[in-house]
Amino acid sequence: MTAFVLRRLLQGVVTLWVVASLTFVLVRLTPGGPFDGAKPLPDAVRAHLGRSFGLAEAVPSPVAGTLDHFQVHVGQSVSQGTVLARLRLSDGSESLVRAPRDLTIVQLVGQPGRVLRAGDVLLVRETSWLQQYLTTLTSWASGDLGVTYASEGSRTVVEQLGDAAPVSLELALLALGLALLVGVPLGAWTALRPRSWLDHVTTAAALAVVSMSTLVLAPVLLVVFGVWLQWLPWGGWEPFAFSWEHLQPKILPVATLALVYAAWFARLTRAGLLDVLGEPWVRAARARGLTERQVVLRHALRGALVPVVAFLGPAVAGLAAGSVVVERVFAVPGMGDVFVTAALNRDLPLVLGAVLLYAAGLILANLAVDVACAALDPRLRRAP
Amino acid sequence: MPRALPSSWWFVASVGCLLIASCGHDPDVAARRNAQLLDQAAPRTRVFSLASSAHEFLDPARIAETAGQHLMLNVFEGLYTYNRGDGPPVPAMATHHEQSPDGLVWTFHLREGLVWSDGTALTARDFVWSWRRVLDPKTASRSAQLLWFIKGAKAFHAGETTDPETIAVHALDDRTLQVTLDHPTPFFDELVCELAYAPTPRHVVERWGLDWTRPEHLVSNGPFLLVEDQPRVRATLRRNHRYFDAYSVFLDEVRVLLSDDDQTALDWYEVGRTQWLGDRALPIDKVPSLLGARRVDLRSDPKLCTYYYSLRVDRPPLNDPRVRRALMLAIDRERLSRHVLRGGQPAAGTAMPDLFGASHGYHALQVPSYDVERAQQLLAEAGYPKGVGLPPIELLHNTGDGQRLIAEVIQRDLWDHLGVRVTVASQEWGSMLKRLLAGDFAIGRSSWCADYPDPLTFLEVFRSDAEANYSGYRSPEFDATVDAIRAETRRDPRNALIRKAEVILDRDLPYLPMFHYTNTTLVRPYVIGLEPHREDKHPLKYVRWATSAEWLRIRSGERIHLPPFAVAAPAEFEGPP
Repeated sequence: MTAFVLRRLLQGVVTLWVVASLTFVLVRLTPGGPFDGAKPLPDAVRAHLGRSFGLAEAVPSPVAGTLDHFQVHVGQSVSQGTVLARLRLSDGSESLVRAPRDLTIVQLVGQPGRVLRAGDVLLVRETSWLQQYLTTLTSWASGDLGVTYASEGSRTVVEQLGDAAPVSLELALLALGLALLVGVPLGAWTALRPRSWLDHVTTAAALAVVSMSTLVLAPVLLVVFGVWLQWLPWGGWEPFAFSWEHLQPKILPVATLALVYAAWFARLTRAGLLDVLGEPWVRAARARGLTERQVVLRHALRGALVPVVAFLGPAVAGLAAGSVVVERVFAVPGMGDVFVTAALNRDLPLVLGAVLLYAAGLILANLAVDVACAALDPRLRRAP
Repeated sequence: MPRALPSSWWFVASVGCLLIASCGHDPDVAARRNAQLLDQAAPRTRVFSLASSAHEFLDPARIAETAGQHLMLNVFEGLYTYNRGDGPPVPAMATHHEQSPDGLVWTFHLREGLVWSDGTALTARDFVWSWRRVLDPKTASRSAQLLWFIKGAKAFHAGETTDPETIAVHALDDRTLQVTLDHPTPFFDELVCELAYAPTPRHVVERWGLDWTRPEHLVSNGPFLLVEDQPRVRATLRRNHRYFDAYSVFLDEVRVLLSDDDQTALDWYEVGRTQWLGDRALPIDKVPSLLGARRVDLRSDPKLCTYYYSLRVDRPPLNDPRVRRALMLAIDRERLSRHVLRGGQPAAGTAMPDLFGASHGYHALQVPSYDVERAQQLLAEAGYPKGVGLPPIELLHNTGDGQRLIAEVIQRDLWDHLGVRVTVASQEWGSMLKRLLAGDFAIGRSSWCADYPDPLTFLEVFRSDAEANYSGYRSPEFDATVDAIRAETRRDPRNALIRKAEVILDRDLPYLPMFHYTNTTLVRPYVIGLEPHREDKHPLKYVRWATSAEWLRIRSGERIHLPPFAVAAPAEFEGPP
């Protein structure tokens, strides 16, 4: 078992690396940059921002001299060896500064006539994708997730995720707990009374809710309970605070998510239990004189829960994705909001942070599900 | 699955009922809602709640978005500040100023005994330091260009020099600030109301660095203090007792609920969690039903903002002015405004809103904006009779329901009237911006809101060297006229030059003006002091609840408007010592 868990964790690290690399490439491929506005920023400002976020770096002058003129312009991409600038040296001779590598120019520093010492910044260039990628990976490996672009350095990624992640986590946990608490007993109860009218109503209602998805359910619940009846407030979320005042705005979002998953769990439990109740070993248990209660609760339900537990993995993934919608509708300041704004702002550090957090959460949840399944069904333990 | 039918049917029916009920305009419901609003007298507490979009920064020097600006304008105050409604700027940290005869040197006199909220003295030197900080490329301020009017500011900001002494701002003594401008700027007293011109506390910024705007560190000089800032959730302001005019501030506390969703903001207002929509707009599909219900709390005020499309003037077929004029004349803006936008937006024939009559004695150029016959004739003259031979033109806009609707109206008008085929491309804001800046478009969605309340701001954007001149329009004649406006200080010759520039722009037509924005919002009837402002600036220090006499008038259907403060009498602002 330990070897199994370790192997899965190792695979998880590889998955995270692949996810991070893909995200990096996707964000870089999107047109538009983090510091674009309706009015472009002056080159000096752009260069400064770029340098403080590792998107640009200085090209120093190799020799001391007076700047005669630049032979390139801002925004130009030049290949290695292109003449960048002409300097006049103190002995009156001229020196050409050539591009040390392929580069794109962000800022030309100073006017002709500027006196330079060797090593002074001559111009600022964009850093290459590869360089940015490697810097990002190294800083990640050392545990530094960086600062968000949107706040221009005044908030760190950890801080922003630290604000949002507990909110989403609590939302998911509450919704999942409630869904299990409602869905499993309901499914079991209907399975024991198949084809009664209660079974029909519950099954139909479950099907309706499952087909609606949170996309429809969230606005409908909000309009009915929030706006028309005004029973419940919404918007805002104090993570892990359970006084009535703090609990109230949590009810609608949790109920929306829980309702959908409760319906799924009810359907799965019902189907699973009906299957199991027809198995020969259940008949055998009955034949040995166990009460119906013992047969169902101790033996049959345990087998019937395997599909439910197996579904928990996708359910957690679905909750994570579904909560983006629910968070948006109910103005919950969770990860959904972070995700959307970060992507729109081209805020690479924050996007990467959010994606990796989600991915890590999913990997761990799936691992937990596999372990739980093995515990429930002895046959799975022997599987490789 | 037939067995599921009964309950599915029930479900569909109930959702249907919900939808029908929510779409209907029931006059009784509307009347009840109005009566309900007029029954709600002001609360006993002086706590004002409003919605706002989320902010990224709170540093007045670096704020770029309107959300942060609206919030922090109540926390920091410059030499002058915005009036209550459209009126001249009112004294704030400064009591008065003098101008040199050439209009270039401005000397501001600060109030006596000004202090920061921690009790430290606030002097003219704080202004010098703060303005230099805004212009420092290291601050990377988005609003630094507002300070480029000051001599030497542009060069320092662009990194051409690193010596801050080259910026012509100097403290003559603790209470006298002298500024030399690049060219005469008659509206400089309006500019210093902008947040970028507000002082920032040097001792706090230097101590805490980037963290100085956190509520636990923040020290400010405005009527309110920021006491809570939960990013993306809420911000809370509380009265600043050390504000020079604290006595005349009515509100004790301001609660700002943050959401980037207009619908959420509307819902909060409707259930009573906020008393004002703040800077959130009404969702475009909700405006007609609110107008239809004649809601007593609905306000729609004109704004210095224009929605237009940039036309890329340097590539065929739009490089032919006749084609551009034909497109311009074939769009029925009145109908767009009346039947699609429905928020009272005036149709635009030029980029300039006609809102400078009272302040500048200038009335914007009025041009015929809809004439289908003339449009067809022009298109035929350009060699494309009935649109034959004209390749499809791409219209680029940013994603959003409102944007799409407007684009589709244009698409239909141009096809119906001219036979011109327009393909509509929609991109998310950042991606669209990239294409606009690169000039990679034919018709591109743009808008311009006044940087400062002067007609010049709507002309400067079309100068050859302006950053937001996406259309590639280069006219030496127009540039020279704009330069002449900058140099002219006398009102009538200046207005004549502005008119000349407008005429040139209308002749060359680098754009398709569509409409001027209005600011449509909901605010509880008992809230007084949020007067219409063409720049949409509403200092909360003027907000108070209606008195009982006013409340009686409001309940009888009257709208209470308070006039702007007269600036000749700054004594009106002075509280008791």
